[in-house]
Amino acid sequence: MSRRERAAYRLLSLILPAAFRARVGVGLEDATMACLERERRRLGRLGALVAWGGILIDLVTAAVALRWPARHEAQGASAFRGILQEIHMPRLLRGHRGYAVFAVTSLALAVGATLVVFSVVNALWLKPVSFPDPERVVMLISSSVGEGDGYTQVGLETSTRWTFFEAVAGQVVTSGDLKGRAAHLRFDAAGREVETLGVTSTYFSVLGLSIRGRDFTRDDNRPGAEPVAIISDRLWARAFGRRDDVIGALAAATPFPLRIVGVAPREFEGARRGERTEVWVPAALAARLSPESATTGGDGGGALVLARLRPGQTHDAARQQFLEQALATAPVAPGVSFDRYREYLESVQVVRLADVFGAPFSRTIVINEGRAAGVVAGLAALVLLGSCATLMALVLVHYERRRRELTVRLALGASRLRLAAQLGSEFAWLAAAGTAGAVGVGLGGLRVLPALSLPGGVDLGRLDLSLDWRVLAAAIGTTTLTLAMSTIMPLLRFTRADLAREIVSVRSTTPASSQRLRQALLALHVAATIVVLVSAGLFVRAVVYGFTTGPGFDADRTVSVRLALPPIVLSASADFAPRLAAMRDRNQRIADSLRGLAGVDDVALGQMPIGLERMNDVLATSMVETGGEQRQLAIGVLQGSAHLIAALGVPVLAGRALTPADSVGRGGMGPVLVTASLARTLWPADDPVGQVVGVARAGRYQVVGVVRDFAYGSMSPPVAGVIVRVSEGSGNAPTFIVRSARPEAMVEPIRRLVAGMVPDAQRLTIVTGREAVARDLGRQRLGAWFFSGFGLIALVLGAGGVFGLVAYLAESQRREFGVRVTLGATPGDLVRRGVAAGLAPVGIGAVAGLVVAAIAARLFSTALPGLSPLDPLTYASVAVLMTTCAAGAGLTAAWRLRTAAPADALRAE
Amino acid sequence: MTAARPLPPHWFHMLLALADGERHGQGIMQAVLDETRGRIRLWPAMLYRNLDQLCEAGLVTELPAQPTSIAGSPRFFRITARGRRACAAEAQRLAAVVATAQSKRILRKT
Repeated sequence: MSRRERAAYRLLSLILPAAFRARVGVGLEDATMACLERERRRLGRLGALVAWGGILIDLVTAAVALRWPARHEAQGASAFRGILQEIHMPRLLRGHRGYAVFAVTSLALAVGATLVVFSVVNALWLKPVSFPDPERVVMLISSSVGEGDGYTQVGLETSTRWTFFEAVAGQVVTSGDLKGRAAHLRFDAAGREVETLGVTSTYFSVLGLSIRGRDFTRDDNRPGAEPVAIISDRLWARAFGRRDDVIGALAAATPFPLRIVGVAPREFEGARRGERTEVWVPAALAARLSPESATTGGDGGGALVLARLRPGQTHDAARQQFLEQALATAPVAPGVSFDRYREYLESVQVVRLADVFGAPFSRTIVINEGRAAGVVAGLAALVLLGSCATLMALVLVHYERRRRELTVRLALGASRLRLAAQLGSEFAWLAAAGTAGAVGVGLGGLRVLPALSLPGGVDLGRLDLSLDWRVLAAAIGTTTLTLAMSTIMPLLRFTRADLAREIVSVRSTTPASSQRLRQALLALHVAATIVVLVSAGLFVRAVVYGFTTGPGFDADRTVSVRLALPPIVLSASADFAPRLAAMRDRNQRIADSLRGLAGVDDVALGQMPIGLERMNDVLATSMVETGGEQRQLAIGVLQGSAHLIAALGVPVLAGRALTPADSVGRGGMGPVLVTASLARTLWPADDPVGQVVGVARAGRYQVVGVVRDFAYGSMSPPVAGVIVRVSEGSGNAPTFIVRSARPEAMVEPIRRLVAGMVPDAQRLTIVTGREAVARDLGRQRLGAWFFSGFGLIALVLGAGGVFGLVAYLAESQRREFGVRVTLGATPGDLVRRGVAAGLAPVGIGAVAGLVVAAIAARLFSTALPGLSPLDPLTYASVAVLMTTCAAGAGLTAAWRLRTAAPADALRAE
Repeated sequence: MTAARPLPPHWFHMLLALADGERHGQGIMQAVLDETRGRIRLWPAMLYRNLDQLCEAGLVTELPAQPTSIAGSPRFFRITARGRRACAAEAQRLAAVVATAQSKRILRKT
């Protein structure tokens, strides 16, 4: 036990009379601590928690008994003991187990689901960022691409943004790289590759952070400067045990040692939400650590430009000044009209860095998903509302059944206060158990959530979804609110002074207006359930469709192998051409070795057609020109060796396949293949073979063949077409497509082979075609999981609501049913009547829900490839499912009506 | 407290715990917990209040502090002759209840 616990007990024991404390001495404290320790040994933290509860009750009881002995003996003790007896969960559970379990489950599911949603909202918007004065730290973004899906991507050249923004804000800094090029660094002490970010020298000062050790200087960024790094506090603790002598020392690292010049403040792991940076290095050094930069020219064209606004400078004013600067001085690029340039500039926004999500290998996203947040929050609110309706029904029917017990208690002289204490304590237990269950459901949900990240969206795995006081407060608050809303009416009704009179008259304790309210709530809940279930059904169908129709290439037989290799350096004076040839030869050797593996049918150098990088290629349309006619099309250009198409299993429909001789350098008019849909779009009446097509910023090509359509970037929405060309096969980051009948079984042999051939490879990523398809369908899978989860909860609550309503009718209208039996009604008639009463609001809600679902489905129709948002099978299935569940629940509750007897009516009179 | 009047259950168990010999408060608490197999749990503040009451009723006596003991050492208690009689009377009463329950076949004879 800790010293803190002992101190806490000493403080609490002050409520005991001083004379008693003096007499008992240290024995009381020792006995208490022994008690606490025993429970902790027995049940761990839970035991300690329970023991503290017991200790508190013990202290209060003893204080009352010692300070007011006469009152305690005469009446206080019995009253106090009575109330303590009421606060006894096992008693409640023993007597009414079904009610307690269902109520707690309803609460846990509804509040748990809400908690998951709240945790994401908390991580995206509410958790404070780890740098001071976040209002003034901003970045520039352009919404010219990615519009419509709630995301916004950076779109201006770094140098342009830097120049103009520096004039506007004064303090500017660049950080990171958005083109998938990442620095690869491994500290020996850390034991694995560490997340590294290249920054300019004023990065930390722009963010307002002070460094333990020293900050970067301009000299650190000069060519030939000593490699230096600033490490995160987490890395400092994990790898170096927070030793001060590490700062300023040379640390062993791969590919070269670095001098650690400073440690970032605790909690800081990057400027954007989603960053988990462990090492910051000067931007020039980051280029040396990125093998992709060696061949792609590493100009940092996509780096973030961050700025600290001048004091008092607003975001709008900064944007306006930026636009004026850019329009007045920037030259318009060749081939771009001034109007288009102006349109492009006007889409530029100045946003708070705190509103930005970013991670390596993913796009920078401005978290302004207001619409999505609205839908999710609305959904959570509806599920909670459904929970309230269900609980209210449950509580009413529960206490309706316990009317006899309550009557006896009142008759024996129990006060209304005592009755209220009993009901209140039961609700308090339900709230406590519901909160614990909700936290459990929430934690389970949060563990599943990162697996459902959207391709190109917010990577939920990189968000800090840990529970904090906000989430716990939300859990307790929501549970209490839900329970209060559900129980306040029964609590008031069953503790009313004239309850006894009402009970004697065997009248319903609930007026018709309350019943109508519950029916309306149930109808609303059913409507919401239908909307959620239809959404879930549509997403499930989209996922099934995606897997069954496939991406157009043979995803079941392909594996993509991506490598990041160290650059080949021949000599300082060597020409670029021999270096390219050496890299080409190395890649060819790897391809030949892969081809020699048992089980491999074919190997080609080239990219997997679907994936995030290809998706970025087609986010904006390209100007396509043929026969003197120009048009804007979303078009993909797939590059690889001549037999890439064969390795992908895409058949040639017309013309001929590509050959190695079709390889031409950049700018030449190379022979290409086009997909059938692109051929139909560009040359609807002519033979595509032999046509010439030009693509802006890519080149002019001659079509030599037509291949079957296949997806490029993503399976949804489809591109207008794909051009396939032969590339030279050079580069430090080659990708191979391996064709095999058993792709999953090839992953390990490929990994072993590559690790043996190129042990200095800095990255090796192996993705099977099916995995690529599964990732691409991430949005649909997320939708399917999310809506299915909510839908299932809503369905259970809806069924519970119908059960509660019918059961309540059965209990409160026994007299009416007795009269009906007297007048000749059969048990079957009574059951039918009961079920019909419960199903009436379900029917109304179902019709309304189907209409709303049909409208709502149009909002996400783009995420439903090959499926109509009005898919009749989905709508019919959901309607049948909801009605069946409701009818089943109603029938179960109405079954007891068979026993209604004329005696009930007579007794009432 | 008369022998004819039933003892409160927690008093009875405290006296039983002291029947083996003198114990301090924490020892009584542990003995009651062990002897009732966890069914009766005495919490410290109420335990000491009840010990005070048992002393006042003459069923238990507090031992004088040892000359060698340091300040703040625990208080030890011993059952008195009157306490033994009260405890025995309660045990007999309970035995009679058990015999009645056995005769009515509510409880099996062991």
